Amino acid sequence: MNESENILAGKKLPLPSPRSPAQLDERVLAEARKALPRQKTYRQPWWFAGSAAAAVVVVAVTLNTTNLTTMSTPAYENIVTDSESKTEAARTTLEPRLDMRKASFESKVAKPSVHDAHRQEKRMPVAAAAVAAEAAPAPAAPSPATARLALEERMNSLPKSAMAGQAMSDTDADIQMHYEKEVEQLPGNILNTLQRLTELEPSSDNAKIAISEYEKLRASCRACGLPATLEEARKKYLLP
Amino acid sequence: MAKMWNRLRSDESLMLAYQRGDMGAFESLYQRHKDALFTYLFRSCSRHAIVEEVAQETWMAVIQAAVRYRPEAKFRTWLYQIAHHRMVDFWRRPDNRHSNLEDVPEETAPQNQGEIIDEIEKQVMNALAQLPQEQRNVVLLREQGFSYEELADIVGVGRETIKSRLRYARQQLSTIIGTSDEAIVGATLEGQP
Repeated sequence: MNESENILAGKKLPLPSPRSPAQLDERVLAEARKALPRQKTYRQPWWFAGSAAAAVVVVAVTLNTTNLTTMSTPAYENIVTDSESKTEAARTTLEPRLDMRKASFESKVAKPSVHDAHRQEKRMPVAAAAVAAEAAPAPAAPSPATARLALEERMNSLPKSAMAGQAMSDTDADIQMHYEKEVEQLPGNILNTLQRLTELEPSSDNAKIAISEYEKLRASCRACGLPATLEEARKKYLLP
Repeated sequence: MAKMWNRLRSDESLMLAYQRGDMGAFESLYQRHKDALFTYLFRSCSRHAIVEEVAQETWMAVIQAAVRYRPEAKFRTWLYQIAHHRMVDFWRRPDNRHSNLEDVPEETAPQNQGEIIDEIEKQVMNALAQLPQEQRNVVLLREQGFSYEELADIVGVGRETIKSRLRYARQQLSTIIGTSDEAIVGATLEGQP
């Protein structure tokens, strides 16, 4: 009875507790090993899904990084870099715009200084003759090669930040806006002529020639809608 | 290192690892439950040959079901559910149709296993053998530490049915063993729900 009381203290029925025999263990484990290859073919390793997800993330990040780099260049850079491979039709379409940009850029960036003004006085007759020659009805447009060369020179003079597609400086932004707003409507040769006419000093004799030539220019292109005076035209098309 | 890690893992985790091809996980799982399962089966039947056969069938069923195993319930509950059904199937065989073990020669564990069955244990085993099979199974599963809900899942009946079977089993065992040992019966059949 003492023994049963001791068992009672454990709160368990006094029952035998035999252990699993060794031969049974061997049989069971052997069967488990035999079944193992079948189970391996059904399931992938636990890390497979995680590695696949990580690989997808890495590829996505790489593609996004690549896209950010290639999309950062401005549109006009493509014109310069791909000019060699463009067709004749595309080049012809671009010519008037290239001329306008060249002319406006020269007026903005290459403004004559005091010294240049003196030199210009000496060169006026020559310049006037040149302008007169250019102001002839329907002057020939510059060749595509010349226009491209002019644009390339302009592009090379721009700051590196603009070429790399970063934010343009205020001056470059103004040039860009000026091109797009006021100059789109005018043919390229008209704008060239206008530029040369306005370079003449108002007080010189050549100014009268310039005004006269301007009137001829207006007459040659009624549809262009040029203002009544040369000064108005200069303010409208050549100044910001 | 892997064995140490497997000792810390849950049964469900080990089973899923075996499902993925980790043999070491199954070995750990088997080592964890093999003795308790064998004990339960032995207390149900007391015939070593039959107990080994049922135990082997139980583990074979676990191995074959590993491919589609889902940890929807506790592994231990699932394991004893398989063992319980295997034991019920054994008793339903035509040559094993005994409502209890009264007519079955009593067997004790072989001495080479190191187990000593004293008189009290024999007395309790004899009393259990006189219980109806349904009540005996519930008592023995309760001895393994299962709650009422887990017992209901294993046996496949409601919680109240489990409680009533345990109550009747207690009364029967008290009658069989004697009033002096009624505390032994009560100590086991009470406890956590």
